[in-house]
Amino acid sequence: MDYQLETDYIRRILNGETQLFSFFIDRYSRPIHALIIQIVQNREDAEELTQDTFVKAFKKLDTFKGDCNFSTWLYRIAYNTAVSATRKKKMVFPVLEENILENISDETVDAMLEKEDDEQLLQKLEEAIDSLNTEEKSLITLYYLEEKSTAEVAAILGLTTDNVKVKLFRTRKKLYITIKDKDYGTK
Amino acid sequence: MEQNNAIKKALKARRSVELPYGFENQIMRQVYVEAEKKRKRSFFIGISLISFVSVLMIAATIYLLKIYFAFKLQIRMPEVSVTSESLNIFGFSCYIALLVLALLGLDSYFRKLRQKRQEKHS
Repeated sequence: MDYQLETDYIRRILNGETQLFSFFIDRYSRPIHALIIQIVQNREDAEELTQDTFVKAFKKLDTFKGDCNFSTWLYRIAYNTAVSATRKKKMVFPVLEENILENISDETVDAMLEKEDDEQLLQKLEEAIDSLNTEEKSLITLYYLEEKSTAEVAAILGLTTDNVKVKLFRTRKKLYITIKDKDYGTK
Repeated sequence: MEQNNAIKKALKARRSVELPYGFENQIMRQVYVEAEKKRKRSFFIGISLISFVSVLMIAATIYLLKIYFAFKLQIRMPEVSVTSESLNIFGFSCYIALLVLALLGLDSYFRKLRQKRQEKHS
């Protein structure tokens, strides 16, 4: 139903009914802004990039083939726009060694990340998310916050579904290690 | 895949900044500017295409007539001889033309006059 409605709106916009584009802005400006602000971490930049995303989407609307959801297509534009912005700013992210990640079991990570009422943990988690790279931040934002399926996340980030699953596991482990490192650092 | 609610909560807390009031309108204004640019671009492309095709057709016609069919284009002006009879007709035509112009001028003058009076009364 939604897909049909959006396709119809796109057809009408391409035929000159520009005002209908406000439907997409109303529907997607908040989630798109939510994704971008997780990546760029700056309010002004996030607003500007959200605006850029919608203008780019309008300009390229005739290239939308309809082979995926409009939201997936829009998220892809937003992700690429935000990534380009972070590249221009040359942001540097810490890299963890592969063997450290492999030594931690998924159960240990899950046990810690399920404590949703632990305020201290949440604060540490927020700081740990800052240390993730652009792709990892986008990955967890789309999967946990926007509640997209792994297939949708894969389509947005240009990865395979298996790759998304692997990267999600690795990102959670990375968060776990960062939090644990901070715990030892404070003790 | 596990649902780690702590991650969701932390992400939500990081996203505490909301979009400013009127943000959607701001984007729409830019979209309208882009739509106008798009319209002008397509108009320019259309005009350019029509001009190009027209020039191409004229060039092809000239080529066909001049080179392929060896057509010689000549315009001959008729010889003009002025007689006393034609001068009389010319004078009469000028008189009629001036009369028509004068009548049209008077008609226009009286119409404006009537219009002004009607406006004053209303």
